Amino acid sequence: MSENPFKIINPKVDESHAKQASTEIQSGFDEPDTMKRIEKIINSNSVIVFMKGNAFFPQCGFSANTVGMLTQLKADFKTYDILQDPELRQAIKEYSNWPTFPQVYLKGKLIGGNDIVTEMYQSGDLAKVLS
Amino acid sequence: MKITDKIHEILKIGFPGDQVQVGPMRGASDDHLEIIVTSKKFEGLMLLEQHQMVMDLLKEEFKDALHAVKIKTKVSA
Repeated sequence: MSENPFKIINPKVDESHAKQASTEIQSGFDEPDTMKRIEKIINSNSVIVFMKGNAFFPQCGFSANTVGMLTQLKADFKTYDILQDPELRQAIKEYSNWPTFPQVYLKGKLIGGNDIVTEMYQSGDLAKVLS
Repeated sequence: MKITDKIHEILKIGFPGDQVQVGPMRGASDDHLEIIVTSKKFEGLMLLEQHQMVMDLLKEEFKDALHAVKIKTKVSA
């Protein structure tokens, strides 16, 4: 009998992949209207970060910094990779009146980008609103 | 026109008479800027709303030459 090829996968790597899958949400919602799709996404995740890349492979320093702070506070957050969804990437800028990423939403409301989240992290407000 | 000058000009129009500082972000490329705006207009507004006022003026620039900004807003005394 040939060896199980899956044996070669390092269990640690496997674990992180599972974690990544649970953190990053995929396009998910079968909703043709992009604005409605945005609403559904932000309303069904209490903390969601629209970012470049994901928590494990952020594609931009600002996005990396934001997920770093949320991770440090052990926040239960989800991420959405806008690089994989050009349509939503454009639409959410209009939706929120905010032209850059990351964008952090808490209970359906934009709390801000990296600057605001950093200020809130430093003042202790971020920990408060997340608890 | 240099991008820092252009952004400064736009913000000066949006915040007439207020203190506006625009400079390059340390350790980043030219399309990353640091902005400080001190205005009475921010009074009573949430940080998000203050930043949105600044971002709103720069919307068109973000479609073009601007990639990222670091914003600091202060309420003038």
